Amino acid sequence: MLFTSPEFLLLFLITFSIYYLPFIKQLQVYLLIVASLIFYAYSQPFLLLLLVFSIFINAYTSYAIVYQANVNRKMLATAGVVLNLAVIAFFKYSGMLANTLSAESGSVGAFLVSLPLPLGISFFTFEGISLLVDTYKDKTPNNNNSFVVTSFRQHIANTFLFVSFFPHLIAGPILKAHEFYPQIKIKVFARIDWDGAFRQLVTGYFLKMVIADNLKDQTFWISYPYFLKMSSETLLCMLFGYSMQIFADFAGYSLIALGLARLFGYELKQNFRYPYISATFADFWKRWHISLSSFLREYLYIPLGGNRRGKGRTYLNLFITMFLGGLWHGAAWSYAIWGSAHGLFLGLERLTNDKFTFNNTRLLRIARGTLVFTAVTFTWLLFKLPEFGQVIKYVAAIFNNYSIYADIRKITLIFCYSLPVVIYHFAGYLKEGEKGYLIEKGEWALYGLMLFLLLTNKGTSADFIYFQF
Amino acid sequence: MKIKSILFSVLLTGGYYFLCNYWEDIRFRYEANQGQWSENAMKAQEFLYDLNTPHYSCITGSSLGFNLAGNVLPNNYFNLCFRGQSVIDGLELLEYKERLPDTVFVEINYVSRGRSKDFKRKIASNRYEVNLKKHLIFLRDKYMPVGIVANYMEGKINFWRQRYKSLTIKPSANAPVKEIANGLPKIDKVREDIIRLSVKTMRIVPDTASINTTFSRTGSLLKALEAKGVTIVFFEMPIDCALVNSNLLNKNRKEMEQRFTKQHYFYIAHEGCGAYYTVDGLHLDHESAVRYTNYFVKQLQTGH
Repeated sequence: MLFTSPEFLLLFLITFSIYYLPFIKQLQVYLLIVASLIFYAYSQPFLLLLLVFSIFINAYTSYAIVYQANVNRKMLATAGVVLNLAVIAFFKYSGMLANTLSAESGSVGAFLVSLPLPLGISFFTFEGISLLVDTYKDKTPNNNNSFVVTSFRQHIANTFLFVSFFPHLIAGPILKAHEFYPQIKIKVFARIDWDGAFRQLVTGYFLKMVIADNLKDQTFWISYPYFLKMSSETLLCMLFGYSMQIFADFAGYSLIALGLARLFGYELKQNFRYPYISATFADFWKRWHISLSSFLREYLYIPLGGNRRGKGRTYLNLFITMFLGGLWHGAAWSYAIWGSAHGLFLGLERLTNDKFTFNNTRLLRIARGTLVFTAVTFTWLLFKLPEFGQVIKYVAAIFNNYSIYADIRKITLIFCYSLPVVIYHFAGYLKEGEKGYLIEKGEWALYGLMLFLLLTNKGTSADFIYFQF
Repeated sequence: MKIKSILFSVLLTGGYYFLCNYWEDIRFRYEANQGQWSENAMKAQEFLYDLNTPHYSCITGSSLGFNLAGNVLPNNYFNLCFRGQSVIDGLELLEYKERLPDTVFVEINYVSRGRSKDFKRKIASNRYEVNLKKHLIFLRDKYMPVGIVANYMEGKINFWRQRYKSLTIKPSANAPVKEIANGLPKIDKVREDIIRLSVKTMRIVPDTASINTTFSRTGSLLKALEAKGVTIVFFEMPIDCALVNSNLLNKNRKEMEQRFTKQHYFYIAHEGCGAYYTVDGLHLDHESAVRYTNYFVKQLQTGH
């Protein structure tokens, strides 16, 4: 179910109108679970079983880690993590493996290739892992009681809500158990942060429906072999537009998720923080898909040794983390190459910083920011084009097609629809500096304009790009 | 802040309502054409809201039929073919039209493609939305403000390009353009690649369940029109010889002819694949589109 669809609006309105009724307050968690399961089952009813199975396993294992006597907690947590990884590997990567080994013609290979990819599998399995690791490490704030409550029934309900809560179920943000469980309690209508929810929902829907959905019609032509006939300027503009589109699409989705969760009394962590103003690759990964990058840092990079085992090992750890982070996005080698490229960028950046000292001048920051943006944008081609060979052809066409007429219509449309994303980042830059007041003064006009464009200028709706992951 | 924003958006919407209704430049001079999907939506809305001819015929189909030359077709013919879409999308729009056409022409090349859910949702998810857009014209795709601004900018840029021709880059010899050698088109490399790719993709036929769903839906829409006195005529757009006997097209032909037999329905005769030039194996270039449209019209006059 899309956040932009009428069916979703209906589900949301029904759930929200019941949620805060006084006689429902003890059942709020259950109501959200039912709504979330309907939300999930609407697209893939038969795969609901997998989600329920995954939740049960994680709920049981995490409960056993805390309360079961005479048990090897480490062994149990490890087994749970391995099981989660096995589920994601089976459904997401076995097809890729069969294709790579050219085994798809055999009956087993054909079966593996034909497996459906359950919506949100990368998200809910990672949340399962977070639950098990956090339970094992007991990351409860203030180290009071464990967030795993003593009642098993209640723990199952809490886990159902944690994993399946519909705002984040299909495309994140990826929640961490130690941040979400403490928030599960009775919610009161009077405490809704209407202002925050309004800002997040308007910006989120605007980014998705006005920007991403309109840009997608322009960037559609980044597909082989159609791009071969386009001019260098058009190809560069389309690539720039795709960079804006992927941000608007995913950041839009995340903001809608945050706004919806806020209406139900839950605060999810910000998933994007103006990523395109980053002056370094390390900074970019602190601003882009924050829930994934912080997950990878906490549950992969640091356990691998982080930067504690010498420089060489740090570079290697960065590379491994990003390589696996790339594969997390999809079962294709192009995603692995994308992740490896980012691992390489991060490693080289750290190596440069280790070897040389730079004066942090404004000019240098702008130059580095441009370099980061260019590299990030070019690597998005690996998301858009299914084969690495096509990526090479696209880049070659940029250099070769300088003599073909530019498609002015496409370029102006990309410019017009990218401009709000550029302004959004500029506003972010001002907010992070000392000139945020300049934006705050006229915010009402910006939100008013966004509402107007939502009414008059929305594009044809399409799935969110991150649904495929 | 929330109230102020909402009031401001209401003010903007009210202002834009008046601009669209009463400022002729916006109403008639500019349109927010943003590429093929936007063009499809605008065409569908023009058909729903602006076509008031008492007697008319319409042509439904994909981007292949879309290329029929509008200036060659009779004035009361409306081309309801949509790029990247299928016959069903056009036929479903007829459900919202009070006055039905006398004749519906159905392009059979891509019937198996099925309906576009997004398109239906955008144009006419229900009658209320159709009625709303009938009265509030600023909600139609033609009046999307960003598209209009982009269209205006494009006009200005082109104006300046014309004015300073020295800055304009000319296509060079290595640009992929169509060339004619010995009266026959010389196929460029990109075109060859596209055709090769199409040969590969058109080997694949959708599964039986999806074929049945699509053809049954098309069939029921056509039968419903027929029951209301509309004449149905079938035609197949000419395509490249490398693709004409692909599994996909053979399946489409077979399914159509089983449901609508040639004994009972009029099929415009196919001229063969070599007579026309396509830019990518599927879509006719302008010159061929004009020639085929002339043939199409001639067939109607002689056979129908």
